[in-house]
Amino acid sequence: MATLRKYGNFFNGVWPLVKDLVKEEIPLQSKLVGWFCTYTPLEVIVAAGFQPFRIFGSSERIAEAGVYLPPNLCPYVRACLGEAFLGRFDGIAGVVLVHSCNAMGQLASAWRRYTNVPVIAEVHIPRDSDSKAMVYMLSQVRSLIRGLERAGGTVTVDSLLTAIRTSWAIRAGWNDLLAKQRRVPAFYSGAGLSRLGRSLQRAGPDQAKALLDLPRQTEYSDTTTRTGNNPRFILTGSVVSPGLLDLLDSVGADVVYDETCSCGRALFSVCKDVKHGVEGALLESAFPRIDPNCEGASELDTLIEYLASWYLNRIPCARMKPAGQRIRYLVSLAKEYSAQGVISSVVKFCDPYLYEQPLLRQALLKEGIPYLLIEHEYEVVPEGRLLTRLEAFIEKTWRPGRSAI
Amino acid sequence: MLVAGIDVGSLSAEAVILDDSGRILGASIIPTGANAGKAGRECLDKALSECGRTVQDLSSVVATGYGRISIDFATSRVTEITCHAKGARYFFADARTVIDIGGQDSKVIAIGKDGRVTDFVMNDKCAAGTGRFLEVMAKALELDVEELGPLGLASQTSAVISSMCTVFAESEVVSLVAEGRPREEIIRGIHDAIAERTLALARRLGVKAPVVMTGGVAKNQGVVKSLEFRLQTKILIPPEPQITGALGAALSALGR
Repeated sequence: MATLRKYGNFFNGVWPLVKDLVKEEIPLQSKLVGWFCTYTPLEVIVAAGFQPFRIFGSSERIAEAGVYLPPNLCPYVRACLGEAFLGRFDGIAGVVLVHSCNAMGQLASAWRRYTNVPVIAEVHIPRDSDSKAMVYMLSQVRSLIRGLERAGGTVTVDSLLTAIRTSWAIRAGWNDLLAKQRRVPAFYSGAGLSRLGRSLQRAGPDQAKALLDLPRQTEYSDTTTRTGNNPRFILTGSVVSPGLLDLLDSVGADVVYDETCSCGRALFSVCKDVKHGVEGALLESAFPRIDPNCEGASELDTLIEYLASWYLNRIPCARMKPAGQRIRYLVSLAKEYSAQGVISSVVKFCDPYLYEQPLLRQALLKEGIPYLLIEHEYEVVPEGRLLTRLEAFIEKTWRPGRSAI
Repeated sequence: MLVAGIDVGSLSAEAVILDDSGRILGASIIPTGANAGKAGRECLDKALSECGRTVQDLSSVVATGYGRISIDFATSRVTEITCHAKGARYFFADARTVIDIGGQDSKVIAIGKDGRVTDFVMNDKCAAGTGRFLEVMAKALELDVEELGPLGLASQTSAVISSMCTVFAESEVVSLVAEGRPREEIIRGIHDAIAERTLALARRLGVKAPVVMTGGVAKNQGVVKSLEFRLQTKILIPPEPQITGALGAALSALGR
């Protein structure tokens, strides 16, 4: 536990630096573009000369947001609207609203009606990934480009190519950090790495590079003090606040991969996912003309097609099809990271993730991988029943000296 | 040397003292009140006093229950899920399912043949169908909670309580009283409602016999009989179901 705290402290030490980096955004406020869903084509925003930053929401005025939205709607959506009411986004270039799940669609309607933060574009994400879906997705990426150009940006072949390469560099850097999590013991605390992952989603390219370099330069690069006896888990599911990661850290659990919508799913890469059998084949078939580095791409349309393919064919969230692909991916992740179990963290009223639970549970149990579902109100607090469930899950899945799956 | 297990729940705190062979030497049950740490100390002192021993005789103390984090003198802490499974197996060595209905939550625990917890479910939304629920209903009927069991068993018919929300169900009970429905019939309806909810929880895991029921609500024969009817199996009740969690904690202290 002491070691966990040490690593946790290290990342807590990083956090003020992150805040300093974010402070630098203030003079550039008019260049910021807010985003909510991991299906937002961020590379296009960067190529247009803006800096995308993830909006995670705030519980401060969530009750006020609840006045404008149905009570049985995603608390993350209410938290995002509530954060807008705090005035934190005043003066930014705008936001990109994505119609992926139903809750995101509701956010789009409420955002336009009840906030004064400009909307750059609304991007509708098809649920399928077939040829018709691809045509539609292309139209949506082009629509986003038009929106960004209306806001004063310009997308060129060079700027988009640079943005894609930068994006891949960030994803590759994230991948390098994750590689260390495959070790036993895991190199970083789950809470710390997830906070870093969240920070990356709010950072500009230079800031992201600095953030990724911080763990590499740290004096804590010695694994000898970290015990190998901590139970290891994959965290998956919808959006979650860092509170759950902190709670898991506090009970001595190593989240070796945070695959949630708040972290891993926003940062994973094709290069990584190509390794996963069927997913790899699917991804390769999606890129018949260009490689992930986009070498030789000379036309804007080619790059747009590349991006549309990537976003449609990446490992899907629970709202997308096919569900089996995602479930196989999670099983493979658990094995690859020598996890003793998988924890699904699902925000209340998130039907897509709740819908996949029986299938996911069945697939994991078939492989002998224990599974726990947690439903929460987005801002996770260390409440007694939740603590009991997490600790009981650890007691159930882990014994000192027991080998991982 | 002796060991102790302390279970500090939302409504009551229990302690069990074991000798190194696993024999129960003393046990106590007290209301938790507003201070979980104080309740833990008091129930431990009471159990020790029952067997004429002192804290100095203890080599290890394991705390469980929601108040486990408040027991600052505990050697270690284990969740009530694991403790109820251990405690149930103490009395019924081949138990495969434990239904624990406590003060403010209920749990169903699946146990493997080797005695380890293989899965569990909890009602983690509210106190519906728990001891607190029964207390509120008893108050609405102007009865002590201990009177509910025998009265419910005396009725051949059951009033329908459609809501399991404690607040709404209380309103329903008040309405049924106003309609002049026999008190026994209403109580049986309350027991059936708890059994239905517990059954729904149990079905998520799949129930394997032998089934053991623990926690304070296991003392209510009306709920037990209603649940047995729905599960179509006999439910085994430990001699004092309320101390099962503390017993499991004490067994953990023994390393079992």
